[in-house]
Order: sequence, then C-alpha cells, then structure tokens
Amino acid sequence: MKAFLKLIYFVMMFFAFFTSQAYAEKNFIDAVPVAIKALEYVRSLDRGNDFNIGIVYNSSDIVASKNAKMLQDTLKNDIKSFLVPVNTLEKNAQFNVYFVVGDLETNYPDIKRISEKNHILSLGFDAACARAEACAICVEFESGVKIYLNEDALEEMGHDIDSTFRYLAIRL
Amino acid sequence: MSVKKWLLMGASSAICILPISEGFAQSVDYKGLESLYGEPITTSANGSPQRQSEVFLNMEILTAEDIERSGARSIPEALRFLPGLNVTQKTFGQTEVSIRGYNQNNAERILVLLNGRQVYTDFFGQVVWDNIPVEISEIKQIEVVKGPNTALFGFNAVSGVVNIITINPLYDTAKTVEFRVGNNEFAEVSGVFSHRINDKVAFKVSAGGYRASDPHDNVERVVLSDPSRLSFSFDLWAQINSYIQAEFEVTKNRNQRNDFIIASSTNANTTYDTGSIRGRVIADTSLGLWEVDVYHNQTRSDLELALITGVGRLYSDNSITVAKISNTFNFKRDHIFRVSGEYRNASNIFEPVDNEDLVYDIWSGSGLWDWRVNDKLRTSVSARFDSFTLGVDGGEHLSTLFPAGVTPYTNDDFSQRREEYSYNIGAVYALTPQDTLRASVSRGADLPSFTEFGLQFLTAPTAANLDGAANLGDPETETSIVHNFEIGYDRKIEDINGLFRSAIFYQYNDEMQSFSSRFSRTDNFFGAGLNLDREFLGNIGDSEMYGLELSLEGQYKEHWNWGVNYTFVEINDNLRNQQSSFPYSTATEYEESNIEHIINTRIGYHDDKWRAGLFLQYRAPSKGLVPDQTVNQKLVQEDISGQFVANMNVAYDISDTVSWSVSGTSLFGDTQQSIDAEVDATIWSSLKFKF
Repeated sequence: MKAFLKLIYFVMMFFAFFTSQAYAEKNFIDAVPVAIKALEYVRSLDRGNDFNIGIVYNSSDIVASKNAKMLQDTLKNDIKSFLVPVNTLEKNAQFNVYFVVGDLETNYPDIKRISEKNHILSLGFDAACARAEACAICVEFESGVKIYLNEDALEEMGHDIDSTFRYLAIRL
Repeated sequence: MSVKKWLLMGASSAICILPISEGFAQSVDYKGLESLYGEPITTSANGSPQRQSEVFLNMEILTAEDIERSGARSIPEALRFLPGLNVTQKTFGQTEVSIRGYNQNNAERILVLLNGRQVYTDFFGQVVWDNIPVEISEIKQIEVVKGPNTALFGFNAVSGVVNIITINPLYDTAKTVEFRVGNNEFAEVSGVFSHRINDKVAFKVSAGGYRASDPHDNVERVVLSDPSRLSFSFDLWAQINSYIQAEFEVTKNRNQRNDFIIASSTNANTTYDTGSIRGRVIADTSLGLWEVDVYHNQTRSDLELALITGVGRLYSDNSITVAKISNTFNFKRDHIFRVSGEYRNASNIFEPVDNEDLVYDIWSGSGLWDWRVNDKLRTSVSARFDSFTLGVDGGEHLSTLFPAGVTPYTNDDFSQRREEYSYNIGAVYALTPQDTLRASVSRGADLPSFTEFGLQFLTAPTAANLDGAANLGDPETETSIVHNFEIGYDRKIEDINGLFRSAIFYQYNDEMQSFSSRFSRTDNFFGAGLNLDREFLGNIGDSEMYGLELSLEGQYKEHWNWGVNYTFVEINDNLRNQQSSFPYSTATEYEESNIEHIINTRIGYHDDKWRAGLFLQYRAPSKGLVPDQTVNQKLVQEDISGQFVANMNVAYDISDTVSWSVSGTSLFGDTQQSIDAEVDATIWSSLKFKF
C-alpha cells in the first residue's frame, strides 16, 4: 500500500513538475514579444547597425538553455543576438541590451554591476531581477502582461524611458 | 478675453521655465501600448495612461478593430451593442444615445469629447452625432465611461462620457478613401490622409460627406428634408523637442437632418453649422506632465420647426471658448496626482427673439489622487469645484417682439452666480490575476443649458388655433445633482479566451431638468378669446434609477468571436409634472419611457480576407408621449412594443489595398425604436481603398 501511495505521489509530482514547467515555458514564450516591444520605449537606446543583444542564461540549466535558444531564434531576423552563459559575463560586456533568462538569482549582483558599468540595459522575465536592481525592466506573463520597472536601476544603467511607459509599468 | 490671454500666457510661461525631466513629452501612442499590454489603454480616468483593466471606472473601450468588424458607418451604430447603452434611431440623421436610461429627444446628459474637446452643442447640451468632425476610419478607439463623472470631465458628464480618440499622425499612418452607396438614395464618401513631413512634424486631413432621403412617410407634422453631412478636419502635430509636443487643429462641419425636438414632440428640419479651432501643448517636465489646451467652438443652428400653427423659424448662434491647464505628476512612485484649472466662456443668442446674448463664465479647479496601494489594490479620489456666472451681454435679454406679460421674468433675473462641487471616489482590487472588483461613489453636477435658462419662443394664436403657446426658459433653474453608487466584478476566462463583466448600480437624480417643467394658461391673454399657454423649461423633480449589466465575450478558435450582454434599468420618478395641478400631461416621463431590458448578441468571423459580423438587439416594450392632435401642448402616452434590431456586415479584402463590404442596420425594417417614428432598414455597399 505504502509503495502504491508512493507511486501515486511520484506520478503526481512528475505531472506537477512538468505541467508547471510547461506553464512557465508558455508564459516565457508569451512574454518574449512583449519584452522586444518594450525596447521601443527605451529612448536612450541607439538602434543603429551595431545594436545587439546578449542573452544571459545559465548553461547548466536545461530549461534556461532551451529558452535562451528559443529567444535567439525569435530575434534572429530583426536583431543581432548572442548567447551569453552567465559565467562568461565579464568577457561579454559589449552589448546594448541583456536579456536575462531563467533563475540567475545568485548572479544578480554581477549582472547589475556589469550592466551599470557598461550602460547595458538589462531586461528580465522575473520580477525578482528588477527587485534586485539587476534588471531595469522585467516582463512577466500570467493571465496578462505585467511589466516591472526599476527606475533606480534604469538610471544606474544610464537609460531613459518614455513617460507613458513609466506610468503604465509597475514601478519598484 | 484678457482673462483667457492671461491664462494662456501664464500656462505657456510655466512650461517654458520648468526644467525638463528625463522623460519625453508624449501624447499617447495608443496603438503601440495596446499591442504591448494586449488590452486597450486609456488616459480618461486620471490623465495618465492606464490599462482598461486597472481603471476603477466602469469603462467600455471600442477599438478600431471592433469598429471595423461592426461595419458601422456612424458612431451611434458602433456604440449600439455595448452594455448599458440605449441607442435610439429617430430619423436617418438623428440618433439619440443615452447611458443607463433617460433616453430622450435631444438627450443632454451625456458628454461627448473628440480627443478631449467638447463636441456636444452647448446651447442645449445635446449631441448631434453626424456633426462631429470625425471619419470612422480615423478613429483609434472610443471610450465610454458610465456613470456621472463631472469631477473628472466637467459638465454634461451626468450619465456618462464618450471620448472619441483619433489616430495621431506622429505615431499612426492612415491613407484611406471609402465610397458607400445604399438604399434611400444614400451616397457617402469619406477620406483620411496622414503624412509625416519629417521626424518632427506630421499632419492629418480628414473629410467626408453623405446625402440620403428620409422616408418617414408615417410621421405627421414633419418638415422633411434630405439629410446630408459635410465635414472637414485638419490636425497638425509637432514634436518641438524630445519633451514638448504641440497640436493645432481646425474643423468645419455642416449637417442637415430631420429632428424630433423634445418640446411636445415637435419636428424640425435642422441645419447645424459648426467650426472649431484648437491649440494644445504637452510637455514632460521635472514637475510633471503638463498640458495646456485652448479651443473655440462655434455653432450656428437653423431650426425650421413644424408647429401646429405652421412652420416657425429659430436660429441659435452659440460659441464657447475653453482654456485648460493640467499637471499630472508622480509622488513616491505609487501616487499619481493631477491638478487642473479651467476657464470657459460661452454665449448664445436665439434669433430673432433674443434681444442680446446670454453669456456665462465658469472657473473650475480640480484635483485627483490615484494611489497604487499595492499590486492588487488601486484607489482614486477626484474632486472639482466650479464657479458659474450667468449674465446678459449688454443687459437686455428679454425679447422686444413679444407682447408685455408673456414672460414673467425681468432682465435682472438672468444675472446668476452659483458654485457647485462634484467628486468621484473609486477603487479597483485584483482578487486574483483573473478576477477584479471595482467600486465607486460619485456626485455629479449638471448645469442648465442656455435653452433651459433663457429660451423665449412664442407661437401666436390664429383664428384656426385660439391657443397661443410660449416656451420659456427659467433663469432660476437649479443645477441637477446626481449621486451614483456602483460595484463591478470582472473575470477573465481563459478557456474561452474571453471576459465576463458585471456591474450593479444605483443612481439618485436631484432636481432633473426638462423642456417641460410647469405649465400655466391665461385665457383671453391676447383678447377676443385668444389664449396663451406657457410651458416653462426648468426643474421637474427627482428620479432614481438602479440596474444591472452583465456581459460575456469570447473567441472560438482563431477566427470566431462572440459576445452577449444584458442591461436591466429600472427608473422610479418623483416628478412634479405628474401631479394633478397640471391641466395637461407634459413632455417628460422617464419611468414610463424607459426600456427596462436590452439584450445584445453578436457573432463575428475574420480571416485573412473575410470579415463578417451579425448583431442582434432586443429592446423590451416601453411607452412614449405623442401629441394629442386635438389640444395644443397636450401629450398622450402610447405603447411601444418590444423590438428587434439587427445589423450586419460582410467585408472582403480584394487585395492589400482594396476591400469591399455590404452592411446594414435595422435589417428587419420599420423598427419602432422610439414613439416618434419607425426606422427603415439601411443597406449599403462600400468600397475602401488603403494607400
């Protein structure tokens, strides 16, 4: 009986894990076009020929790696983008924008420091990134769009944003 | 005039000396922000951009896509199927729109704005929809705010506000020409052209016109004309620098239609000539988002009235100048404040009877505090104070054409001064990401119009009709006060990719205004058995209203959309004119004429080439007042049976630049939407070119 209950428990956990993963993945997919569009409201970004985006992710995280690749595929026709494993951040500071993908909580201090130092606009998909000032903007998608704006981080990164965008965002 | 100049100069100076912030001056890029958030954006609630779902007001937003799918060629038909609205077509050119009951001829409880500029006719407060200088294809969205909102928008916002937002040539491009041809000899052309001259300057020109016949052969005493419309608008925007935008707009419109006037169901062939000029500056500074808005509206109305004694002519020359300044700013990120000041000067003369213009000045101050308490709760408090002065330009308003004693008033009676306040308090609470609660309490103030203050109209008796009639405004007419309480609940339903919305509301109207508030009769006034009946405009008494709105809309697969909504409105009158001291029944009975139940359904289909929509409305039985043909000024009640109104639209994109459509309104034909007339089906075909 115990074994049976254990089995049920593991089956449920298995499905819960994969459905939550699938749910999170769907939310990420929905959030990506919003994040790209949000860049249009950052007036300080120079959208010239050299404009490029670094997609920061944890290469040992399978889901994050998959999402980072998917994001790069989405961008490939319009914007130059490069995958940047978070442990190579110091060597990849030549971008206009960082897209921060996945759970990189332990790396937030590094992302914040490098973004501020190199005036890179950091944009993430988890409000925690904005709360930690590692991201100036975060886009979440759960039953609708939520856009978080950390104005201190934005200022430290040397950027400026449309005032209508500012009024609509959840300001941290 | 010096006051206006002072205000304008002061506001301009204020903007010039303020340090510029890190932000950018913005009129709102509605289209871009809508695609960002996946829902319409509005600035109507607090002056700054907000998502529709975060607004505490009960607001419906019709997007350009909604309007295109409906196939509507007029704004009222686009609004018809929204919950809470009663859209009643009277003639080809006259449609009355009310929000939550009280739909009357020349409905004056609704405030209609075109990009924030008042476009109702100020001499009576009514809306001549075809006289609004806007083409359907240049509309970005129509915002409908339900309930009294004078604290946010100003007078006339008694039952609600319709704010028509057009495309901004700085952000949007439109190059369209559309031809429409239909039954009843209907022909229309409409064009919109926008162009960016360079990065800094853009303009938009729109123009349109129609002509039709009006087959109201079932109506007696009508002075028939062929309805027509000609409209022109020029809108110039300049991005002065990254922080300041300026707008200059001129419009001109001429509209002829067959009118049912509220007084004793009188009919008229009416021509409205309007023009406007407007300048606006928006600046983003370290002290907030400033907006200075100055405009002047001119309206000339020519009313050819069908009276029992023959045709009478009345002209109204009306002008209004408005200067506004507002500042919207943030405090500690979660608080938005807006402070505003407004001055308006208006004048009106009814020719040939008025000796000199009636004029009024209003000084207003208002404030708003919007507080995002946390991620779930947002509150808003707004208040407005108005100081109103009525007078006569030259001191002699009373007609010198009338025999002495027709009017009981003196010229001094038209000198009035009064102060009014109004407020809106509301909150919106996100119970879950799917569920939202809204609650609001508001007090609105409805100032009488020029007509209610000072109309003088006399129909002299004749040998065939021994009773002369005078319609007289009352300068003592009190401001109507409206109290409104409302709770709403919305739920996003992902399974149907849809939204459920609901609202319950209660409204109390204190001292409502009417064309027919009291009545007196003087036998032998003119001697030799010729009598005078006087009908006074003014306050009529109180009325309460409560109701319910339910709506559900969704999408099925990729191509189908549908919606159904139900509005219940119950009105209980406590009107003085229903009391027995009046010898005749008079023109206002909200309770009996109210349509208690309106049900709307719609289904739509769209793909790359095709768009189609079918819209059906049921209107419950009601009653209406019609003239008793035997006694002057007397009205009798008649029943109006329940009615179905059906509209449809089928459109096909022949190519990327050409589309063709067939549309129709009141398809069942001979629909009696009001007591005044039956409405014929209108069916037309349209060819639209996009460049």
